[in-house]
Amino acid sequence: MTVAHTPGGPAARSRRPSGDGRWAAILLAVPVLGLVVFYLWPLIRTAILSVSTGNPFLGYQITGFDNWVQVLTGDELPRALLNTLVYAAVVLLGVPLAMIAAVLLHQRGLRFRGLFRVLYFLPVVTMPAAVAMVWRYIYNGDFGLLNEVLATMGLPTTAWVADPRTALYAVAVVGIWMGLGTNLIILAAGLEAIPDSVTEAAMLDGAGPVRRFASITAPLLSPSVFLVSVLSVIGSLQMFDLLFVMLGRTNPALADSKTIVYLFYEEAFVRSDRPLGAVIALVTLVVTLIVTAIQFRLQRRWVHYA
Amino acid sequence: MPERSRPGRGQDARAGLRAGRVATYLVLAVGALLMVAPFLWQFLTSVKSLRESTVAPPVIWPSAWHWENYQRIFDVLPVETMAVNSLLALILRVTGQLLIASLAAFCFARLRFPLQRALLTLFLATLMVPPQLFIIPQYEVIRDLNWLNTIQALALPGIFSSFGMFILYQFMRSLPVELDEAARIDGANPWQIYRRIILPLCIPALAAVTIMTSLFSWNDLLWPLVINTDPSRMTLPVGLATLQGAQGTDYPVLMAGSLLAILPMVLIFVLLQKQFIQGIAMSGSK
Amino acid sequence: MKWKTVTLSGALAVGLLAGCTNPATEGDDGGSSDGEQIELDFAIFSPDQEPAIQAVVDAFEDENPNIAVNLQVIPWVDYWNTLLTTSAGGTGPDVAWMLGARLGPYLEGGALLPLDDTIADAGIDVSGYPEALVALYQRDDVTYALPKDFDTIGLWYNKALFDAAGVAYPNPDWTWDDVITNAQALTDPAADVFGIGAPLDPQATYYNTIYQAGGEVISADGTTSGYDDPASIEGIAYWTDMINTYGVSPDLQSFADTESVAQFMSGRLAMLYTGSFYAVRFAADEYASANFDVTELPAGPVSDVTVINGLGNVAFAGSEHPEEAARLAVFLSSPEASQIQSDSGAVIGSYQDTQQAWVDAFPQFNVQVFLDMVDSSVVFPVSDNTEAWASRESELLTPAWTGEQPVEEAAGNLADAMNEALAAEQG
Repeated sequence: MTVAHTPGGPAARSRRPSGDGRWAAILLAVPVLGLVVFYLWPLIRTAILSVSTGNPFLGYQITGFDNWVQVLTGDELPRALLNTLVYAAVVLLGVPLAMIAAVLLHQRGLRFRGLFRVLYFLPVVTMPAAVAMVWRYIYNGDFGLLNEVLATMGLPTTAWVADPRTALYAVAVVGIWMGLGTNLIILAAGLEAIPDSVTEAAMLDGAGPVRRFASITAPLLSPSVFLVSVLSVIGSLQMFDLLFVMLGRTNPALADSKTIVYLFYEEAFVRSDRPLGAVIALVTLVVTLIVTAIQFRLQRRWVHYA
Repeated sequence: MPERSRPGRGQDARAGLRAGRVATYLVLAVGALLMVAPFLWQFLTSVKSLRESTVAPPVIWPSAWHWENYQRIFDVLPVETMAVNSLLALILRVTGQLLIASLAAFCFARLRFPLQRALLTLFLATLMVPPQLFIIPQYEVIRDLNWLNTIQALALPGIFSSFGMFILYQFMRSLPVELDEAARIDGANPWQIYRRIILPLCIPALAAVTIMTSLFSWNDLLWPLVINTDPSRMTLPVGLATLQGAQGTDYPVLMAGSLLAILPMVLIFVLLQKQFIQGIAMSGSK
Repeated sequence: MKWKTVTLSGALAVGLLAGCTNPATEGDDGGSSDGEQIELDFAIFSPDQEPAIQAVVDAFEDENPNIAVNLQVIPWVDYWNTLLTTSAGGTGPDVAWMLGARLGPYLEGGALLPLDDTIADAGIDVSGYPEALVALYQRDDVTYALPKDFDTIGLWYNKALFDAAGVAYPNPDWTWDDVITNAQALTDPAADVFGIGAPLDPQATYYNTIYQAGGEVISADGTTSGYDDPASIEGIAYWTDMINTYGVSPDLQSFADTESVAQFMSGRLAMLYTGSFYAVRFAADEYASANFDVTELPAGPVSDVTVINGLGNVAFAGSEHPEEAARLAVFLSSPEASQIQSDSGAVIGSYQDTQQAWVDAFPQFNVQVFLDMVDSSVVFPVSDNTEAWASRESELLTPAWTGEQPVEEAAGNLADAMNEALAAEQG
């Protein structure tokens, strides 16, 4: 029959070119309403605000692109953008870590696999605001656990989240820690999807574990790695909770660690300047789109879809 | 010759394998320790005295176990009320999300209609928007609905998140098309196909959505903080936030409170780990 | 003149908005003044003060049996954003706590009810409040709030650390030089003890010393920054020198990790400039209660003034029951309310002769100094949109605290940013 077709919709579609319009309209009415009210309307409202001036009591009037000029020519945005990209890049290092863990856990006959998975996954299910508090306490420069451990090993110590040189990286480590479980699970699912026959064939050809990984596993796993990377970067671009809880508002490291969403929070929530906040919100959105588009372009060079 | 050398090489390989295995366990164990250490430290701190929690160098093991720190949480915060609010918001959000997401996913995966691709792209695009950016306009919508300080307000924008739709859409697309066709021949309309055929087959995906949405709902901080001014509608993360302001540096009580707040999700995870892992894996399947 | 028209149209706009969002409740507005049960929402941000405030509310409800007050404690992190957004949208509380520094946008928006008539009706003698604080909540001779409490800054010290170092306790005659000299004697790196704490904290630290040096944060007419005034720079350098020159205070990173008051309470700092508002927390802590005491601020080059600040209670023009809201706001700052708050020990009630109870609540500390210093106090500096520049202070002064920039440079940058913000206010 339709063996050649991919399963699911397409086959059915080809037979009923316009068929389900009425039903789709009925079934999609509520989801689309929600989308419009809670996502599209806020987007439009933000766009209008970004070219307005005013006051929350008297309302806002459209006055032109002064807010855009102010934000785009100011020195806060480039700095926040840079901080965000550095953060995203550091958190991306969590992907190879997750890959190592996934490959180790994938070995046949491994014991305690379930236990390991639970332990690695634990940070994912916990409240970001709560664990950020714990990490802040661990990073404390005067009585933190981390400094104590480093000191006994004879390594240098500092006030990790108050030192401008380290704060962003210290927060990124927590970002890696929180995301490792998710990355691990997705990569593990990718590994399981690689048929045993492929690796066995390579083994019979006398390929050692390293070569097997490099020439078989890695290429076949690349779609999963790509996905994990995209998700990790999008998550990093949205980072706010961790910074908010771990650094607080009067911190000498803040200027060197502020991300774009934090900058948005400062304008819109602390200074209550909603038009400037709206500009930053839209810039954040555009940056997310651009970075994701770049990733999709780059994937052609290294991702192999089977 | 080759016959002889083989067993030898085999032994070497086995020895190598054993060494590799030991190294594997070692690496995995060290990694696991790093993953769990913050929680252990959180627990140990939660039973220390305030003074002991802020001495340098830090004391690893509490000299006396101050379990009353947990009691103090209940004294300073209406924990029961907050837990009920968190739970009600969770139930509403999960139920709503399951319904909305499965309907939308069904239409995109199993029907054909005008503007299908454009609409789907629009739905998926919302996943890339940092949730904080739209909080104020979303707040205004809730305000204009006169729903401030209500449970539905806590759940609302989350109900319409495209996350569930994304997972269910992937899953529904993988179901064979013959299912629909057979049903259509029997005279079923799309609603009946959705209700009787597709939905029952989607149980694993629905479970995954349930779990992930529960997680999002339980841990959400900024939205409930903004939408609520009524103390009797406060959720657990918001309560924790007030605690941090009020008792700035009482680390043991803070740690006790945050441990209590994350405990329910950790317990559910330990019980339902298979579903959790499936949930994550599904959000990752291309 | 211009301002008044803005207010009027603002009040109209708010009234309209309130009307739009609540059409159903329009009807029962009419006869609500007498007999019928009325509900008022009242927002505060301090869980610590909640019991005392609830007692004041109870007293109000006793006097006004037809009014029920719903007390809402909004977490500080979101208090100001919530208050602004809700009151602008006409769904905010009827009455709320206000700070002088936050008043500007509400006045510009015409969102607050004038309270002068209600104050006169209640027979309150306004001269019984600290004059500077009353003025903080007035614009063009219209009163929008009365201060409910006040706080001044004192020099708190840890007697145990002074005894251990064999240093005599601070006395009211101390000058800045005495602070530095004694802080040096008290600092003991081996024991991880510092003579004093120098956090980047406007109200507790550098605002006081800017004025003590003869400088100012903002010009008297509210149009220009005073940060580039050499005297202001001297007032800031007093603190940065403690860290960068004398090494008698932990650095800014340490305060970011552990707030100064917590370090003080853990016995790491021998002295700390901070407010009367911590008396309650110190008294509740065994170690602090036994070892801490307080004296007047040491004198700077020009004077020994302290910054005074206080919360006010405002009523919103968007309230469905403006008359009752105004009555509640005035009552919450009345002499009676002031007495109840002082009795609780949580804060110093704002009205004269009601404060002795607060002093009596802390026999272990010489907190009388906080009242004595009111006579030589400067009010917390504000402008029409204080937050526009105040929110940049800590970021722009940070390089001075960390020693990356000379104080002149950092203060100059702050002055530039502040003048820009002030110019925007005028325009």
